[in-house]
Amino acid sequence: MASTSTSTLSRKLILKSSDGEKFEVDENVAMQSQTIKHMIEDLDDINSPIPVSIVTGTILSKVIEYCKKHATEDSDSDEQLKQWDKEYANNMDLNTLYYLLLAANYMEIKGLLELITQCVADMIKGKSPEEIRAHFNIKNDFTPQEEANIRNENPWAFEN
Amino acid sequence: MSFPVELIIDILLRLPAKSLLRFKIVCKLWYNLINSSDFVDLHFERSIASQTNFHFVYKTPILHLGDFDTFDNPISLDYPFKNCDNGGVGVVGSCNGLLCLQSYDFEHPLLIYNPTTQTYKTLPLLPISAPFSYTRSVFNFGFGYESITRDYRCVRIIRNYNEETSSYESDVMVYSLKGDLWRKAATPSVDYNLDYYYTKSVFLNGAIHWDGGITENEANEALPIVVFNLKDECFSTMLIPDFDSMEIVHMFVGVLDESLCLAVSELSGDTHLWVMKEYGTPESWTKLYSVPKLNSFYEKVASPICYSMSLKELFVHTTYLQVASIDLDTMEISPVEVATRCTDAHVCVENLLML
Repeated sequence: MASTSTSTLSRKLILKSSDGEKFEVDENVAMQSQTIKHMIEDLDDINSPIPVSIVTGTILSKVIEYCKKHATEDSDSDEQLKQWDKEYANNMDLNTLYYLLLAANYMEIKGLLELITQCVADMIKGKSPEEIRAHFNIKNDFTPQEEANIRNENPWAFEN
Repeated sequence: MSFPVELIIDILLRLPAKSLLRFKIVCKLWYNLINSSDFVDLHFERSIASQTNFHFVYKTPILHLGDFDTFDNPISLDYPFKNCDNGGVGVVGSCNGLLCLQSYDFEHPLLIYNPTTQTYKTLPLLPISAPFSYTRSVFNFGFGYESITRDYRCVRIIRNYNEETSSYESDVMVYSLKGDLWRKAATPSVDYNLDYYYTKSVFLNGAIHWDGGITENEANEALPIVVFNLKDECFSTMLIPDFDSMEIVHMFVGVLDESLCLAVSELSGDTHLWVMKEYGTPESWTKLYSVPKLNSFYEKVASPICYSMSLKELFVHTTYLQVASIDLDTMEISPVEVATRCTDAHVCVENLLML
């Protein structure tokens, strides 16, 4: 890379969501995403908006919120950061979490992916199979007889 | 919205067995995913690494699954012979969350039982032939896992004492779960003495361990631990610590914190817990605790089960297979009461294997 370290720190990038919303962020914030890091390496013109094609503006703003916090982690202790992560994830409904999960996966942000995966797991742990199908939009492809047979393998798993 | 299957796997791996067994009916993809041997192995390894999804399996006298480390939320387990006297079965050994069970009636076959999925495999009945018999032969069983073939193994040892030669004749058979058959062990006889507690084998480090027992002559000499390596199927012995002139009445082998351990009871009633810090190195035997005698003269600490999560207590079996906890600050020992007397507890990590 040709740039000096001081100019790297002050560089700004523009991220563009799937619905056209633009976000100006510090380079070190955007670089939390491995996908964007690789994109920048291939870009000639750093000033043109970088498309984050499958992520909507609403979700992208949440992703940036996470990346900003974790780009400046030196100022917080591990405990404080963990607490912040917890509150961040707790403030979202399951639907937002799913889209955030897809975004973190696409943008390759390891910490966010880990956080949201665990959060989704905690949220679905106690749900019924019917609720799971509705949440993940999954079609039941078992016949009633097949379903009953599997249910009988571990009937106690269906009790509270 | 469609989810990449890697994300689904990553979410499911974080769930406890109860949720996963329920989610098998979500759809065929999830059913096949949760049943696949790769997923079963990954889920097990994750539970071990993160120290989650641990339970106690214990007898009261029927087998129950309860929370680790409180024994709370007991589930009465379903298994063959459960309605027979005294819960019907003894636990031969435990390994990777599975148990090997032997009916109190030796003419019944052994079982491999998975308390997480409440499924079991009845082993083929292994007949015995002369010179061995149910009435005059001594039986020892063992259970473990062979990591190269990724296969569970059971071992049956039968011995007859021959008075003319003052020695034992023996027969050693090995069962492989993958092959579902019994065959003669590579080393089909054992030249060492094994104690007569047939429901006690200890699996650690690829090998099954049994108590050597204590000689019945006047010397009261404690004999080395007998080791059967599941890889080469050879017997060997593991030297025990030098107890000087201590009068030993009981000695039991066990596992504590991934180390081989010994509970050694003196005539005075005190029990000393020794740990072999470096497996296979007898010089590394270290005395960890001395537990004063219990209320009943005959009842002694027999083998450790595990530390509590707080590391402030140690759960142990006593010689009557009762479960008790020792307060490690005061060395005070108290029986674990779970509605009724609790016996024979094992730490059991969730294993999704359907037997």
